[in-house]
Amino acid sequence: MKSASGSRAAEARALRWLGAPALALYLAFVIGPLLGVAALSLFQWDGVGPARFLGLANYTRALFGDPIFVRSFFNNALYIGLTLGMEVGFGLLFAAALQARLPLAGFWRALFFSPMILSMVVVGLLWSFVLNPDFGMLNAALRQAGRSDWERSWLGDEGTALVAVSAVSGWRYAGFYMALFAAGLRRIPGEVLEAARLDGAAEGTLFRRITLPLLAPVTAVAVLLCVTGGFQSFDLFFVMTDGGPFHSTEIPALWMIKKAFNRQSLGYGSALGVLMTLAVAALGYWQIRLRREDAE
Amino acid sequence: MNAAQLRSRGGRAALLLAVVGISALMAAPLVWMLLGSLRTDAEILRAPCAWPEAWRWEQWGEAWREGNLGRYSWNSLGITALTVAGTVLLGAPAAYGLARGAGGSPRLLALYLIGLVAPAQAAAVPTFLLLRTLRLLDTWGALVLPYVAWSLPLAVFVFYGFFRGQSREPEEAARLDGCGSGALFWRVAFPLAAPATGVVVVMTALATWNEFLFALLFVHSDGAKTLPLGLLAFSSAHSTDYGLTFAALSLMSLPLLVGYAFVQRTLVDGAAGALG
Repeated sequence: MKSASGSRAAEARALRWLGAPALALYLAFVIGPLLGVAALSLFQWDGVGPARFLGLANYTRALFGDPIFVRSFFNNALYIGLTLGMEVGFGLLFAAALQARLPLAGFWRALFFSPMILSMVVVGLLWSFVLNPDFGMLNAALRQAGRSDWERSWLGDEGTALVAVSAVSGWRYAGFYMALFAAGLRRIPGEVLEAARLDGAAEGTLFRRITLPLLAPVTAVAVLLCVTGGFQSFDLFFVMTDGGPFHSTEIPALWMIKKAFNRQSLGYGSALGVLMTLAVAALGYWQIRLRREDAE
Repeated sequence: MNAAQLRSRGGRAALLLAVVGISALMAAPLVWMLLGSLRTDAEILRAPCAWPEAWRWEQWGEAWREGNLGRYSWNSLGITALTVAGTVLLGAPAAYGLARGAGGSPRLLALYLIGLVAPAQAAAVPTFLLLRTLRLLDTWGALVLPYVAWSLPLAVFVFYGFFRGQSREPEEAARLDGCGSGALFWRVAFPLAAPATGVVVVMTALATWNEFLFALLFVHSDGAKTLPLGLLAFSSAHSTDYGLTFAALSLMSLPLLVGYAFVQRTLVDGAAGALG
């Protein structure tokens, strides 16, 4: 027996070694930096000269002395609210529509998903052109439709810039949520819907009363991804507005990178990064709690 | 045919019409970009939405040369290939160990979960300092190492789910033949995991190819700049050459869209499967 348990221990050791290189790299480049950012946030440092210990001063500055940072959180919350509709909402609609076995369903599905493969830089540049006030596709289309009064400098107007970026985000991600919901819909047994149909229920009622409740776990995942992902947006904002006009599209990620890298405030930027991480973690935790309470 | 069937037929026609309409709206910006890439700036300014007067395919060649897009494509291809290879070769055995009960599995999985939800932006400053210390800034390694590390969590979870669902019989048979754990993994378990490998390869490749923030912060010279950076530089250097910029954007998205047509099934289902 001794040799058997010995060989089992040897096997466990061998299995652990299989994971060692991955773990080492992951600790060095993910966990290490995430701990490092917390440490850096306690200092004032330009990255070259000596660092000065500040304690929590960077945090009080961020929360009470940096109105743009506080505003960036509200902007981000608004953006998340809008994208919940434009990404998750449209994704659900697409999935439900394609469930009806339309002709060429595979083609529409592939088309709705296709923006997902384009880089955010390409998407951002393309849509900056589409929304351009002078030669943009949107204003030109409005002119041709006789609605010149609707023309706007979409990204240059404080009132429309954030909505415009959210819409572009919807264009890119709706197909992703469609894929998520479509997988959920496939798991709903057909007999349930058939039985209700035989009882004479209308399609709209079926969707509201049966499909949506059965989809709830998928919806929870979708909302979680959209909310936590929304706090990590950076590329579109950087390419399309860089936070402007007048900080109306400033978001924490963008502001943090600007502070840390453009103004060489590595310590202060790190504090902003920690606050952002805490916000993402809190939102994720809250979502998972909600889900658990639902399940009970 | 009864009234209900008739109504549902009318409903399906209306639904199809709506789907076609939305598809057209969604595709419009891409079609506009492709047409714009073949038109002159004067044409675009005069009539933003119109057919090209002459189809100027030569703008594509000009954009390719002017934008140094060959160099950036090479960097992007190399960095993506190394990242995908690294992620699979490190992630698959790690997930196998966890699935077959190496010590501390639940704690390690929780550790990998952190990387799945934490914002990579927050890690940017310390990662920059680490790369500077290692003298890796401005090289392919400055991107490959963090990319692999941040791709590992998803890869570990996809492979872990796969290995948990796999029968151990082939492995037991090989073990009786005197095969050690390492050899067992590489010769028996890993080849059987091809479907999971496919999902990880496609998703990692896509995320790496399109990554922007780390590239923006960690590389500056042409020797390591990736395509997203190259395109951004191109568009600011040619901010008034609309046709040429459209050509550069088309050049960079068309090959992806064509390639996508072949892997769309894996990708659409994989996206849902990995996270759903």
